[in-house]
Amino acid sequence: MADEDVVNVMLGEPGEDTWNTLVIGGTEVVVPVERDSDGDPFQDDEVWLCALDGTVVQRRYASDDEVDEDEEKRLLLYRFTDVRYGVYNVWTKIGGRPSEIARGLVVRREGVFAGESALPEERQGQGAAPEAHAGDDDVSLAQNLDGPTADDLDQSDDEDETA
Amino acid sequence: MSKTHTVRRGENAVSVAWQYGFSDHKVVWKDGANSALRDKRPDPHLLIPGDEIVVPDPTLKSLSLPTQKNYRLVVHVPKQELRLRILNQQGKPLAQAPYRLTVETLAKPFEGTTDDEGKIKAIVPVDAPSALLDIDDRQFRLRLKGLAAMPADDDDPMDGVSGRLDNLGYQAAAADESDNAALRTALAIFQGDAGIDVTGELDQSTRDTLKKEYGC
Repeated sequence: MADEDVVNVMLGEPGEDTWNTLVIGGTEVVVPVERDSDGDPFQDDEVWLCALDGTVVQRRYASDDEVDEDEEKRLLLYRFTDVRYGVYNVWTKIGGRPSEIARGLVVRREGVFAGESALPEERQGQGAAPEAHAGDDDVSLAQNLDGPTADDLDQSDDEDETA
Repeated sequence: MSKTHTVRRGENAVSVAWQYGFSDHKVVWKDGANSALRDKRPDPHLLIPGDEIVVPDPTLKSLSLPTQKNYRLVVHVPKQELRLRILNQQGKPLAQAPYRLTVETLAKPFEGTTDDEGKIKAIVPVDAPSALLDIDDRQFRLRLKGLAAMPADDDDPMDGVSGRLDNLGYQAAAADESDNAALRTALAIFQGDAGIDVTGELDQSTRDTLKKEYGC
């Protein structure tokens, strides 16, 4: 059984035609990231899916079951499940520092978009984020962005899916 | 002497009337002193915390009954209907899905399957605060009467908007509730999904579309 979600609903008079619509489940977003992006082969890589306000929505470790390997491309495919419609940034640690590796992923009913482009379906996921590489020119450092704080990232793993 | 009741989260006009001894909420809702509230909130089941309802004096009933006999006095507890429409992430009805609905104040849960439109209906007591819905290997705590009305003007809070978007699967809530950037973003994505102008604002078209897609 999944964690309990709290939802606010209305009651009506019997026989009326007002409804509460609940959309359950979420989109699966696959983020390919270069293996050992933190530069330390002995460290379990971490990738965070963050809301625009910096809240860590989900986190994945390279050793998680939700992470697949593409050996040919030396990529790890981080699968984030049950992602709600919204806009997200993706962060990881590069050289021990939190770094944004994908900005403005838009999850919509039609799939996952980066900018104006719909991203192709990949594996089981409905949307795959653009490939992210440690060392890309557009990788920005945490202190310049509205990303997760050190406190966010140091919090225990049991906050995996706060929203 | 009438009283003024300030609405709290989890209350509607029916539950407020019941608190003051009225089994028929219309006696309270249609009182002349509540005409301004009725103009602002046309549905007595959808209010906003902070709304004020004037509760008139109840009319007391008296009965003269002979002694030396037993009597059964029946109090009518108002019932309300919980109506849910369950969709998957693609917006398709979750049809013929087994569910279990456990209402806090009822001993026996409702069990059944959704219909072809993914709908569930259940009659619940007005004073039930919450229910647990188990469906599709997930569990939801339903705060009954927790959904707020859509804002009638700029002074009203946006809880009714974020609540509907949240239930429709949008990331509308922010860690900092004073930050409405998350709500604007969710509105913009909803507008794009619904095929209406993307403004990130609650314009009339968005208001109408949101109410239609949500169901109230």
